Amino acid sequence: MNSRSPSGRNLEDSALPSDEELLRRYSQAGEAEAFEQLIRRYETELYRYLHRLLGDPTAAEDVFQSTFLQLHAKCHQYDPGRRVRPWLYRIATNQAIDYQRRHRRHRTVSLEGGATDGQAQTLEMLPAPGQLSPDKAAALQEQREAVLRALEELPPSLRQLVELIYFQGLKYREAAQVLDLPLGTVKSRLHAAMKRLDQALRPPASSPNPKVSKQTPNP
Amino acid sequence: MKPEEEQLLLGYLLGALEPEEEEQVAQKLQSDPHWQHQAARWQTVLNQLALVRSQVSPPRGLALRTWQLLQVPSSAPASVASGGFASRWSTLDLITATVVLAVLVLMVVPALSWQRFRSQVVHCSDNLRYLGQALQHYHAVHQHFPEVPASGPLAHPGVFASLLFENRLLDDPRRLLCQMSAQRARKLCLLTPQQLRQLSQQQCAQVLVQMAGDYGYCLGYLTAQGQYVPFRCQRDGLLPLMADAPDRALTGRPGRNHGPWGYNLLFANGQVRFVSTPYCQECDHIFLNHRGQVGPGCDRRDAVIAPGNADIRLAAE
Repeated sequence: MNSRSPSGRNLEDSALPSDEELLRRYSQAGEAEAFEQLIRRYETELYRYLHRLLGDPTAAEDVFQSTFLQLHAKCHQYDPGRRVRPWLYRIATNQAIDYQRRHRRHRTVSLEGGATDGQAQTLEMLPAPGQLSPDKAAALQEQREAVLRALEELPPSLRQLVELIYFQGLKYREAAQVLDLPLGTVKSRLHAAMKRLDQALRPPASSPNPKVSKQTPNP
Repeated sequence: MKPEEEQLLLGYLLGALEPEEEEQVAQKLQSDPHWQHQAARWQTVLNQLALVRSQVSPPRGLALRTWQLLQVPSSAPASVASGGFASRWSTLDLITATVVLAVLVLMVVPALSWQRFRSQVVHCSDNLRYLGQALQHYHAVHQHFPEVPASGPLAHPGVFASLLFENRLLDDPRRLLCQMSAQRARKLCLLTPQQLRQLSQQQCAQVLVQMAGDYGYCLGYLTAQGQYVPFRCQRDGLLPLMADAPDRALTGRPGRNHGPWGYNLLFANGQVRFVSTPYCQECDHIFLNHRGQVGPGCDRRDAVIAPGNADIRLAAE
């Protein structure tokens, strides 16, 4: 099972072999179980990333499989000093871009913007507000929609970093490796993205609109 | 706060820093109230983002299916296989396509080869028919077909072309070629016997070999008195006059023009027939006389068609 938290830090003990160790064992000694363990480890994490990226469960599944097929095909090129996680995310991101290019679907969440089935499903999967009072549930739903809108309004280059660093828990350095960007660029872009989100999500100043309050429904 | 400091603080809150950077920011947060205030502000944004954190679970057995896919790469689904790292074609597809292609090739190639062969045979027989008319005209004037001398510089089968040319019955050297070849046609020149005699014996022999083209021509025959005479038109008209040149050795090897399939044969009456063996229904071996030699016939029914490069002088003696 996945031994990482969404933020990428180990939850379980460090006795488990590292990703690098697993891939090295598979590429050098041909240990099939090591690769299988690697797939299981990233099953949830990578699937969620691809699901957010592509907004479609079938596409996410296809790209997940093609990502590991690529990793399998390229594992002989693996440099033991290299971190596996950023490499895997890089392959997955490239595969997702290829998939979108092939299918000409511009209904993605993170790269292209726009509401998708995936987002709807994401909301459905969130803790159901059923236990809350109707007022609080409605407010929570409204807040979620506002966050999604704010994310959608981000440019793809900023949105991608929020996905990788916040939602997937990659470090700055790993995100820089995934996107092949300088470390400073990654830091400044994420900062810019968070500032935009802060502005978009800041509660408006309380200025009641008399016109609205006085408005009466048409008979 | 400076932008670099804010980036560090954000990285700390997101867990995106390296351990030494984390320690540095943690110390700063403990001592600096301004950092604490800014951290609280960013934390508010992050808490809001947490509302849309995906809780989607992967389809059941995704890891297992992926693993199985790696075990049998050829069974990859089309959507995965089209990712550029696996072939779109399975082994079965490739075998099927190869078999279909092979069947098509087996059907088309023989048909094309047969058509090519037929057109060549027709072209060749047209030439022979043309030469047959020229020979008949020659016979009408001289009461015999062009004579191949038994000795001397002109003792080559190709002399028939020279005699036809001299009598203005042949002006296009391409008629002497079975296969159309512009290059060979340019090299081929027609000379009269008089012009040939002015050449050295070796040059004359070379020109006569060329003038025979791709065909063989019938030599004369020996009378009962041992006299060598040219053939004359016979009553039934089934005297073989010309044919596709045989192989020089005549050891059963295929002819030069149509390979193992046979020979076009021109009779004295102008008829052209394609025969699959050197034996025709009306005559014996068309390239050898009754003694089994390439030389003059042993009687007036023993026509021998000799290729242009045959040395007939010795045989005649």
